[in-house]
This record gives sequence, C-alpha cells and structure tokens, in this order.
Amino acid sequence: MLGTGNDIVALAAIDIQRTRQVKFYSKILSAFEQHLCVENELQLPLENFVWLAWSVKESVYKFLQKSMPDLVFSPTKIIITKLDPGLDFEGKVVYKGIVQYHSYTLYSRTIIDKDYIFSVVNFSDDFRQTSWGVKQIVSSEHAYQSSAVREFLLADLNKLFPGNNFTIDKSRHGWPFIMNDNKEIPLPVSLAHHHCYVAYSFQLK
Amino acid sequence: MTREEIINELKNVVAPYTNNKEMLAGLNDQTDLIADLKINSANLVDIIIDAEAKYNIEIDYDSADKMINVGSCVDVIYDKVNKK
Repeated sequence: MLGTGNDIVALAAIDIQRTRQVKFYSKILSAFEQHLCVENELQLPLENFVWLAWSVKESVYKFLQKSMPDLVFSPTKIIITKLDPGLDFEGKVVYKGIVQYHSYTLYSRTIIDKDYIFSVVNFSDDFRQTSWGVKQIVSSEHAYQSSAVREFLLADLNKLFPGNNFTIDKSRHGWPFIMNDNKEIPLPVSLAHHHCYVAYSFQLK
Repeated sequence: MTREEIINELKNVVAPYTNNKEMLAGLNDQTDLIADLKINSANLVDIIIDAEAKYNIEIDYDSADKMINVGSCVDVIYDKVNKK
C-alpha cells in the first residue's frame, strides 16, 4: 500500500508535568508500551517517550485513514511493538519503530530534536523513497500554520520537480492531496503542524 | 446534570485549547473539536483529563474514542455523571 503519514510535536507546547502523570500517559500508551517505557532501555525521558509514541500513532492514523475514512483515532490501540535507535535519512539519528494496528504492520522513523519530535510512517521498512521536511514558523495561529505548511511543501516539491503547476487540495474526509494542472496526482502526502513547527512527508514509490 | 448544563460547562473545559472564540460561543452538538474549534489533536487528551476532573468521572478508552464532537462528548459525560 503506497501512503505516508507524519506528525510533529513542538516540545515548547507540551506540559511536562502533566505528561508524566499516569492518568495522562495511560490514555496514550498501551500496556506493552508502558512496559517498554518502564524498562527504559532507550534511556529517553518519560515525556519524550510519550510524545514520540503519540507522534508515531498520529502518523499511523493519518496513513491508514486514507484507506479507512471512518477510522477513529484511538492511541492505545495503535501499538509500537519495537523501538530501537539507529541511523536513517542520510545519517541522522532516528528511532526506528515497528507498529501494529490490528492486522496492519507499519514502520516508523522518529527524530527527537531539542525543540520538536517528528515522526513519519511507511508500509515498508525502507524509507529511501520517503521525503520529509520540518520548519519553524513565526506564529502558532491555526490559519497561519495551515498556509505555512502548504507553502513549505509546495516549495520543496517545486524544487524537486521543477516546471510543474502543483497545488494542494483537501479531500472531504480532511486529508491533503496534490494536484498538477488541476488534476490529482498519485503522490501520497501528509501535513502536520503544532505550535511554531510545521512538517510534511510524501512517498515517491 | 442536564445536557444543557454539561454543554455550558464544557465550554470552559475546551476554552484553553482553542482560539476560535466565535465558534466556542456558539458551541452545539455538531461542533467538531478539531475541524471547527481548531484544537490540536495533541490537546485532546488534555480535554479528556480536564473533563474527568471537572465532572469527577473516569473516561475509559472506548468512551474517549467517541469524543470527536461536542455532542458525543456530552453523551459520554452525561452517561458517566448520571451513573454515579
């Protein structure tokens, strides 16, 4: 299945004390993930683990929603079964995950920056055809975030495929798609924004 | 509690997470938390935790999954409050 899903969490906008409360993270993490977190082999601060998991789960939801428009986002039912540090995206340090949602298995890559946590998911463990971008913006106002992430994606698409007339449209179910000369093209894209950060991903093949 | 009382209090619960004050003022059962109030999905858990504290209830996973628009939030809260 060709697709993509991404998410970004701006660390300046999270409430660390609240994230550390069991009543909060137990609404995001499955029992297995809470076990992973307690074992803490990755040596991540609890709040980073929780928001890493959130961004992976949100990415999976965005990926699957395109083939399941009525899908409900239920974080504890999307389960990260494996998470290891590694390198990807041209030598960047990432967290590589395997994620299960019912019979679906997806693969994730997460970057933990000092200012944000960014995740992208794919149906394959090979992300060489996955393009993504993260950018800081000057305002966290919703309309600005929305237009900034679209401008960001279009600018990078135009650099990669010059000479086209790309635009971004939105399906009636809410996910974005790319048009070229007013005709939809088969390039799965995903957009994300949180506070003063925007991000996109697209899957070439 | 009546549905009207819950919906009025729910405005205070969601207010910290939305800048769309016009939509907040006209909150109704069809108001979608993300699409209409522009609440970031990362704040949905905050709203559930705040609602639990406000109404002294516990919202389980399956109930939380239903809380997509104001009507479904009120249904869940009404059910939990009136079962106490």
